[in-house]
Amino acid sequence: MSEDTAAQDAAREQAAKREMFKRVRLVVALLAVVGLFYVFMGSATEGGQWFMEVDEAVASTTIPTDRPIRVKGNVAPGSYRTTEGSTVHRFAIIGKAEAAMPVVYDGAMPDVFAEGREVVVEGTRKADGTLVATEVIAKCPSKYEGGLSPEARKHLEATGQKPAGDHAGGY
Amino acid sequence: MIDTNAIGSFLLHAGIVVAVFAVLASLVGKRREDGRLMIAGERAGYALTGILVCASFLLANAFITHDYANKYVARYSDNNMPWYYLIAAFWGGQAGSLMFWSLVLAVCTAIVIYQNREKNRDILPTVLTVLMGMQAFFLVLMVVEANPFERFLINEPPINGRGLEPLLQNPAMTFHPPSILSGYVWFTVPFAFAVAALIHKRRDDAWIKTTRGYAVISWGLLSVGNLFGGMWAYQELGWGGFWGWDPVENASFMPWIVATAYLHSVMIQERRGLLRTWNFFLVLFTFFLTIFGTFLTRSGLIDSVHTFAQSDVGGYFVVLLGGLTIGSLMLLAWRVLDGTLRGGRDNATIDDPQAKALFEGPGKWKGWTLAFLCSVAAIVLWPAMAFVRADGSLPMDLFVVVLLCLFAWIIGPAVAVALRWRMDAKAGITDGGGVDSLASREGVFLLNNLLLLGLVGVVMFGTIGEKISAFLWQETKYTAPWFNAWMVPGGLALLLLMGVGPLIPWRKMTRKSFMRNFLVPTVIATIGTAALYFGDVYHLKTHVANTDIPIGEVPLGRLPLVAELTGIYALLGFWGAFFVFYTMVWEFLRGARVRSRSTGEGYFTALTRLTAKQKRRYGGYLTHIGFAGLFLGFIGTGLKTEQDLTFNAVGETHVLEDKVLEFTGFETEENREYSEWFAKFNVYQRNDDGSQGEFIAELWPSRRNYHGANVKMSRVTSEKDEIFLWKGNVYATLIAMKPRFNQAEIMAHYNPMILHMWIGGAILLFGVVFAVWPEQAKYPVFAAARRRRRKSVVEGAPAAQPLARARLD
Repeated sequence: MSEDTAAQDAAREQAAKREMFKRVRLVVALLAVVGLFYVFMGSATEGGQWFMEVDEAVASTTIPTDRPIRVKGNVAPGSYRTTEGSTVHRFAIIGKAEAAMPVVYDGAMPDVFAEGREVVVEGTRKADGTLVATEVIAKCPSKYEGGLSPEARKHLEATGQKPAGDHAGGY
Repeated sequence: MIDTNAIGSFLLHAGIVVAVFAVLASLVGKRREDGRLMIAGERAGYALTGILVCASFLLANAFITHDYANKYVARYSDNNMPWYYLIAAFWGGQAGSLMFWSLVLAVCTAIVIYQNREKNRDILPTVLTVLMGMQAFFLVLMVVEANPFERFLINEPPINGRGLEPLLQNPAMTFHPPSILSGYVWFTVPFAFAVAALIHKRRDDAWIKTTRGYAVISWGLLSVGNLFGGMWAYQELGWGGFWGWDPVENASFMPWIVATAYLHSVMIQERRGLLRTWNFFLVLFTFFLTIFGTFLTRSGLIDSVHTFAQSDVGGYFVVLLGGLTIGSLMLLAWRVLDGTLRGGRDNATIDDPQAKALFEGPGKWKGWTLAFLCSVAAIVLWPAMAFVRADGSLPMDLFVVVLLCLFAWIIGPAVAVALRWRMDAKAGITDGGGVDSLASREGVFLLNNLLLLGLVGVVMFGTIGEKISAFLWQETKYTAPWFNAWMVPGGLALLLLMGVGPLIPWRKMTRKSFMRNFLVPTVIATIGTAALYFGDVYHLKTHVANTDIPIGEVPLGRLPLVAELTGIYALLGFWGAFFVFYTMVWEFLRGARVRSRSTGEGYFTALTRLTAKQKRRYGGYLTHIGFAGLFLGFIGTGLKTEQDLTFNAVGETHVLEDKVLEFTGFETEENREYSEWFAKFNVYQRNDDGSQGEFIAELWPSRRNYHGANVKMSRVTSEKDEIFLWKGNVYATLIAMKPRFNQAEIMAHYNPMILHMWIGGAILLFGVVFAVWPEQAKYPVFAAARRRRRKSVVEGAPAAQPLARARLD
């Protein structure tokens, strides 16, 4: 009789232990998930490149100087300067407002870069407001069909035309 | 003259009618258990296949015969294109892609109907309803928004077309879109069977066994499609890489990840009867992601380098996504709550009074009311968004709906399962068991699944994060470094699990078996990695020495982004690749040895017979070997070097890694489509003392000037040239040139182990084909013929009895 209860006790103890182990495992797993999520959200807010229009970037006072940003705008006419044989390019980008943002870029310019064109510049904004670029992406109007800007699309629709190349593209 | 475009258009319209008929016939037929109606539905399925094959033939023919009265043909082809690019132009645009989608789905449907003519009879009508419903959606979309047979309204067609974008004129691009699209479509079949199994309360694995082949093929097509996409980017875009974490690439990568998870977790269900709900979830979610991917690439919601179709189909896809989400999740939740999907080997539904009370007793309406309210909320939500939106721009509220859908996919199943567990705990029902120990085969599969789903979460967030962040903090673009910070360690963990999996037994691993199985591969992988490290291959020592984890210097969230871990990752990657490679090859050899000992066959005979007998298993192992190769390529991208070299005179030399490049002049070539300037280089091996060694090969990067039929299309492209070498490829693009002064500027890349990657891809493809290769004996046509013959001998009756098929199980 007593042996039986002893065995039962042992079994119960083991079951309780297993239960305890399961619970600990669950807590550890949950902690790991929460920790991972915390770091992930951190990387989501801290990482990546802030994307802004020129006007927004010029007006903003909160961009840290080491924060990679991506600024979209048009190359200001008459602002492009470079010397023969040098890879340093200087130009300014403007948006709808008057204020321009000076850009310094050391590297190979894309073929389609030209004054007046829309560009996206990646880089960091220094204290004096200059954007030190790591990459310049120029949009080529004929490169891909169907890549109409929303403004152009609106204009076409307002004037009653159907945008050409609407069914363009594909994989 | 016959107007083929009008016929094509007519066929599409007829297709809609047939598809809708098939849906209705199957639905009503199943409801009334009317065999004739169900057969009618099946035949409509065959008919639709015929219709779409004809229509596709007409479109292909229009391309080949340069029928520029057709808008689509005029837009995507011209007279100069060779025939293979004319065929590729079929799916060059939106309308054609949809057409191709429909065609493949129709062929799939026909195969499904034929394969299941003698099995799964009870759920087939529901399967057909789903397949034909999808078909109807795409046909309507085509007819209303993007008809490939649309004609110019004026009578005189253009003399020449506008041509296919030169960037897309690449052999890899001929294969990439059809493989991805077919991969998407093949997954419709597992989805349809999953839905049918859920509706008809199937607990058994029949639907999984029936659709296994489709899932594997779909996975294989997606893998190959993504590889071809990478190959295209590598060859054509000239930046020396193959994957840029672009939204369009991610769109086809996400369903692939979830499908991978499914292919593994399904084994736990077959073996242990666990994870039923999870498997259903994975299938439904994979299908959702295929549609989500299409939506992403079609709607132009997220700006991508591959800015393709910005068109009006986005709205349709949002409706489809919403419908899929609500339908799938409600069905799944319902079956979870009524206890059909409980774990356990036993295939009978556990009798559960509480579930009965919820769905069948007086409380029956609770479930239905919930479902009804959800649907109403969803349907009302979308128009309501129109009032909420600030500037009248459509994409944003489309996006909100999609976001809600994604949220539902995360929360919905979790809530249902939690409720079920609570109900079970109260009623004292224990389900059929669980994973006992993480150190078991099922434990590894489980980890692999969790990891894969986590990776999907990362890719998903990175892809649509720019919209989410615009809501919550500051619009942020997530680019390659951000993705790599998460995906590289995730991928490495996956690689390690891949190696560990086959070594761990089911249920539980003992210490003895651990020692026996792990010792040799661990030692070999360690020796291999150490050899690479001490040999300082690819400057591993420098990379490892550069390791820097600035704990405490940057915010915790920034840490994964700024930590310099290339060296550590490379070492881990090599270790994992060696481990996986050895384990997988050893599996083959060990199996063959065991078999040859027990049967007395020769070693080689034993190997072929063994693998032929367990195609799925050994095909899977082959795929893993392919993956080890792919990972070598991935490691290589971390170890690559890239140099901007300017040559100012013929004979000038520059050093790239262990190679010397010597400029030898220019060459030109002209043909119908373009004129091309080549810069010529001789590439020599560089000796350890810095002197120029033996000649390896010539390198001719070039710039092409396309004439183009349309002046607007005429443009310059840079064509790379590459030398394939075992250790690492030399890859160069011509950035600028002044042929008159014999000056050339090139971007030269040294890409380690890229060759291993492509070979790995080929092995992967071979593994997939091997795994799904049909068994000779089970070949349906022969088997059916044999059966019929046997039957007619026995009964002396005529072989064919079509209506006998209508009898239900």
